[in-house]
Amino acid sequence: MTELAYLTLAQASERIRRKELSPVDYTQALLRRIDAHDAKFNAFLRQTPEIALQQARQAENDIQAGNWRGPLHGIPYGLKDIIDVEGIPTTGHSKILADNLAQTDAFVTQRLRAAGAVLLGKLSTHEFALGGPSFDLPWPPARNAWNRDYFPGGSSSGSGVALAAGFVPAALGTDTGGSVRNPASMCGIVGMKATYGRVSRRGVLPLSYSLDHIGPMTRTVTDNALLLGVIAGHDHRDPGSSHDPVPDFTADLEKGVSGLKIGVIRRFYNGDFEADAEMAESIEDAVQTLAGQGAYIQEIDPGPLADYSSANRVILLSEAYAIHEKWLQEQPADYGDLTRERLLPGAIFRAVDYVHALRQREVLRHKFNACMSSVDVAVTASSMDPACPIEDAELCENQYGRQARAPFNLTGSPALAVPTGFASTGLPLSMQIVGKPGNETTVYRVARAYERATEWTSRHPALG
Amino acid sequence: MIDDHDALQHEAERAGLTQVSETHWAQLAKAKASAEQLIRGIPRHLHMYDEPAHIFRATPRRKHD
Repeated sequence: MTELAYLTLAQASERIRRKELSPVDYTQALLRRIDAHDAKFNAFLRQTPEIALQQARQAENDIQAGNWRGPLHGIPYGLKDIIDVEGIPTTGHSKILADNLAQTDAFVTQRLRAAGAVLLGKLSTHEFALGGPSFDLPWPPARNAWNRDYFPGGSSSGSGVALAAGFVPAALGTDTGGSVRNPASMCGIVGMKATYGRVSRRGVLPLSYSLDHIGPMTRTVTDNALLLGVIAGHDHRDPGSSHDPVPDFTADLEKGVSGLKIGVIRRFYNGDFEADAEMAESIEDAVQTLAGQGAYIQEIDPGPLADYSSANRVILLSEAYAIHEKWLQEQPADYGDLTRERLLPGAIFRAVDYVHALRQREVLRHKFNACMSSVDVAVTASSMDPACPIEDAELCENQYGRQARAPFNLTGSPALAVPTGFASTGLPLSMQIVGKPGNETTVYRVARAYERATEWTSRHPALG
Repeated sequence: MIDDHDALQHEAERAGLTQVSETHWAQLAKAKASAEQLIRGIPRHLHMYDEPAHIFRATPRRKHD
């Protein structure tokens, strides 16, 4: 079972294409693994075995008939439970939407359905992609597959856990201030927040209209590029959707980094914040690894992290409050404590604060892009710390803001979290690789070169 | 302290938060402090010509917009 559980998406896809692996057998093996282990980790809010087996049988029949649709055909996946699937509740992990039956598929669900992928179920999230970890919701929080006593990150917690646990080879999360990249960092997997507008948000519970991104989460870099290729593209029903053509994100994966210019934003983790020593050391090692492969390294300084974080939070919480205002007024007790606490600053901001934050966003976007003009990509920390014990509420809260992900929601730049090793506790370490808007391909190229040199992504937890 | 509570109650009423339990009052007080700290992090000195990041467009960029 383990062998199938930790097939990469690319490996499984190739075996399915060659008719060496049955999508039905693959799906059944993963469903059995979920049944055997997920009670310890709570990755899934809702499994969809009937849909999964129907889609797997359809994929098998199509492929046997010679109609292979592409790399996601017959591949099992999971969706964060803020993404709509027609006929299935989208709960946002909240009592408030416990019976919220989705009327249609989200854009990304449509894309995956058309690609012939196999839905295994809906995955845990922090409530409305904001609070968490919370123990006062209708469902328990997901727990880290490397050690169930530890936080798996969030808000796309279940997506990170399901991948690390070998329950799925592909999942989608969402990212407004880092919610794909945080669980990717805590769970030792790969998570991409692509350029703003690259992936349609239609059919996904909003948190902040101008900061929300939908992101692919996988165990390897190549898998991530394949998954983004399926879900990216213009959607005229998403007002923020980009018209930019979608490239082949896998095109440059094996080109290496020789001659590329990599900027290191050291101040974010060795100045603005003082990162955990093992985390910082792993990032410096990664930079040396890339330099050893012929990349030119230079330090860049886009300004204080706090400038970006403040603007991100004021915009995020103002927009989120507009979305949640009615529920906060009429049924505030139905939120989990932490979610309500995190939403309430939105009641305090005035319109003028929001407008100033939006103006500051544009200033920072120009500043960051100018800083990036001398390099191909930048490298910095994702989280400042490895995962904390999930039941240590004070430590989890203290670490909540110790991150360098929010700047790239603000600038809309593509940013990928990739594993950089393991702490002495056995928990994953990570870094971010950040690109220029529209250039995910170079981000993946650098990440793949690093992955090939280190192979951190080939390690998996023992589930016990 | 009474002034603080009155000010907070005013903020809550302004925001339409009328179903506020004791727990929620404590959270609102914490939220107010957090919001004020965040607001202090946003500069007020930008030139009036510096526009917000997303602005209204009257015409579609493409035919489907």
